[in-house]
Amino acid sequence: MDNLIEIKDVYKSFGKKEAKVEALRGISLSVAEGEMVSVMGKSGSGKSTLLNILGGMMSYDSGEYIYAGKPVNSKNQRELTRFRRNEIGFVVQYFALVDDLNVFQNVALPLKYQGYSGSKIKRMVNETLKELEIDDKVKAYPNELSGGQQQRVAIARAVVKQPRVILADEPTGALDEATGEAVQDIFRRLNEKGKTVIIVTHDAKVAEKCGRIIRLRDGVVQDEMLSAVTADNGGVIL
Amino acid sequence: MKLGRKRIPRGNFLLFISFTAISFCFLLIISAINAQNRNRLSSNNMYSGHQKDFTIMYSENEAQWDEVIPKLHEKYNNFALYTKVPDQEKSIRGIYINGEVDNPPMLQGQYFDDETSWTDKPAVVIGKDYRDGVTERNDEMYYTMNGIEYKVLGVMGTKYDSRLNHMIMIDFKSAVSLTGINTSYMLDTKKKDDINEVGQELTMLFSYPADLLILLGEGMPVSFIGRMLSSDMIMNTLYIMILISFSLSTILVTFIWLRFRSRLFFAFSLCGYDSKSECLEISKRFYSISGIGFLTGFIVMSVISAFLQDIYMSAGSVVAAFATTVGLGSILLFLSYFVYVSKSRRK
Ligand SMILES: Nc1ncnc2c1ncn2[C@@H]1O[C@H](COP(=O)(O)OP(=O)(O)OP(=O)(O)O)[C@@H](O)[C@H]1O
Ligand SMILES: [Mg+2]
Repeated sequence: MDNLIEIKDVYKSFGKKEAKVEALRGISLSVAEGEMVSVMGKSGSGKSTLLNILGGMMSYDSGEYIYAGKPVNSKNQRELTRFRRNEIGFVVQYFALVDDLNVFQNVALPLKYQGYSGSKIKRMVNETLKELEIDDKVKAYPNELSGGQQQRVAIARAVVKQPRVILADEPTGALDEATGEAVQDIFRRLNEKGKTVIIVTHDAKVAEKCGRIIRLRDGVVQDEMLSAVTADNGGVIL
Repeated sequence: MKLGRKRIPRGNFLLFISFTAISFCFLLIISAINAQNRNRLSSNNMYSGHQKDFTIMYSENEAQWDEVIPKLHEKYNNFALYTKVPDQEKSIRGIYINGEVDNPPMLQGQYFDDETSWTDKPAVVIGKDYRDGVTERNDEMYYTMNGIEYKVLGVMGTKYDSRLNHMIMIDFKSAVSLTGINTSYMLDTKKKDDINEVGQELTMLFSYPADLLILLGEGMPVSFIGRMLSSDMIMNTLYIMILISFSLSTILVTFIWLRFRSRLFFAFSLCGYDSKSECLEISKRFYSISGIGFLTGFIVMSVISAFLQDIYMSAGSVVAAFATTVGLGSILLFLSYFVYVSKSRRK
């Protein structure tokens, strides 16, 4: 399999001088198209930073990021914006829904200014909401939804434009177990449809369901292993 | 804050309040300035405020103004002479004007100039209350008083009630022929400094046997504080202070609004909005909120002006206030957005 995502020796630090924090210290990893990967690690190990860089939300200090064979120039805001818009669906930890927009409007956000007609947007949003089983809440506002429902809306927003890559930062962190599992299933289904999925999680159960687990420690990859799911399918346990 | 089912972001609420306040303030100030002007017009009967009375006595030549006016005309600009024409019911003034002094608002036609105010053809500018008495002939309007027919140059007045509306101005020659030369007059100039000079010249031109009495010089010394109080300066300073403080607080509020809406920004950047779409989305929200704010200010102001006779809101003042609010708002939004983006980009 060809690598869709490849980063080599990437460094990222925050702050200056004494206050300087090195979040990533020469991290390298690659993810193939269609893979489902989980990223684990202690708090502060750089998981969110990694995901932000992969999603084009953040620039990195040095190293290389190659996406689909082409380098991503993280210093060029315009290029980064286009990359984010066309390739990435990002689900963040605290949903980041817009309070004064209803579910439909929130999910339609990424489709605006893309040249889609109103009816096409309507169809795309409604299909996605149906798939995620929240089509009965189209007109609701975020504050009227439960945590699990909000997370579904956030996922719907990330996947509505059918991106190649879905990045999720602790998508089940704020949910109870049952809801978390349902959300986890959503990602699995998306992966089965060919999406490349990268999930940051603290939850071993969530990680297990991914094909591969990458563990970070102090801003580098500590180890990687294929999970039981993959092992069942003839994979190798590392 | 909730409106129906929708939760109103705190920032929106703040922005709304702030724009309501600022537009209300603009409307109030512009109306107050209008009222001030109106007051000045109706209390001074169109004089500048530094006008001076003078009296002519012992002149034996009823046509002496015929010699004096051309000389003054040659030497000075932007001055006016007035005299009161006694009348049972109407308030009539004669006027000679050269250049411009403090012309009353015209509703129709023209005010006097140096030719029409010194002429052998009787001319009149009437206050709008006398419009009904006008007769029309060959596309010209005429107004007849005490058997003399005057050509109507124009109609002056204000929309609201003022003394101008029921005043009549006639050309100086007609006025002098009615009152006789030995009477009292008023001299006014556009520039305050000119008044003594023109006054002196007049005294010289009306020499023996005629005598012209005018009190020249500063007159009563007025203290600085007195001048401040009597002039519009204090009020104007107050207005400017109010505007500045409101503008500053609105800058702050706009900035806070952008901060409070950081989630919105974040969602935009998550969804890959370029700066153009982002700006469009933000302006859309900003202008609709500030627009509603302006409307609310306008409604509050309308209610107030309906109850208070003194406060009067003209369409012009609404437009002016709206333009200022929008202009100010745009500058604020631009500034705050610029600061906000450059700050968040640095991260
Ligand atoms: N914007 C920032 N400014 C300063 N320091 C930051 C910033 N973002 C992250 N860091 C620091 O970088 C390090 C890695 O942060 P990161 O958020 O990637 O950790 P994480 O693995 O996602 O942790 P968690 O599991 O708690 O979410 C931490 O020490 C954090 O304090
Ligand atoms: Mg994190």
